[in-house]
Amino acid sequence: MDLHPFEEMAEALECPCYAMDSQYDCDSKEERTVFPAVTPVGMAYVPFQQWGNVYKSGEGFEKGTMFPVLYMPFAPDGGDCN
Amino acid sequence: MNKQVEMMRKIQRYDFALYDLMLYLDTHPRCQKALQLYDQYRKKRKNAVEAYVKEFGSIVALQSSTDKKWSWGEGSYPWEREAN
Repeated sequence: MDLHPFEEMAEALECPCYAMDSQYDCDSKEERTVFPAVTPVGMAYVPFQQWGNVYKSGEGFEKGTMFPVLYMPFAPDGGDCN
Repeated sequence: MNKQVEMMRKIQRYDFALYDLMLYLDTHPRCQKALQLYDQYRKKRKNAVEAYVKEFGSIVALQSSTDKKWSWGEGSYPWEREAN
């Protein structure tokens, strides 16, 4: 019997990304990748955030995020609260 | 900005950092770097709250004195600028 695309994907990944308590560790080689290894067509995928630089709390507070990779000010004058 | 507002802002900045790190940790529960940073901010937040309460009184009723006199009613009310 054919596998459903989700089952196929889960099998290919040996299902680590569905287990919240998997051995994921940002310093280890088991790091979860930005995209899954298998991406069935017709589906949308959200890139999985990787650890990187963080703002200091004051700057994060102003920008609305602690993560430079998530700072996307769509207003022409920036997204800061002032 | 007076000292009370300054100290409240500090707590709010730490609260924001902790909240955003919480969202990250929900999806990255074993990220050691995020765990360390969360712990640092939690300590800073705890110290900042203690310093604030010592100088300006309770932020929430749980911090009120129950030693002879209830101090919770003495501070500014939530709708007053000083409380925010």
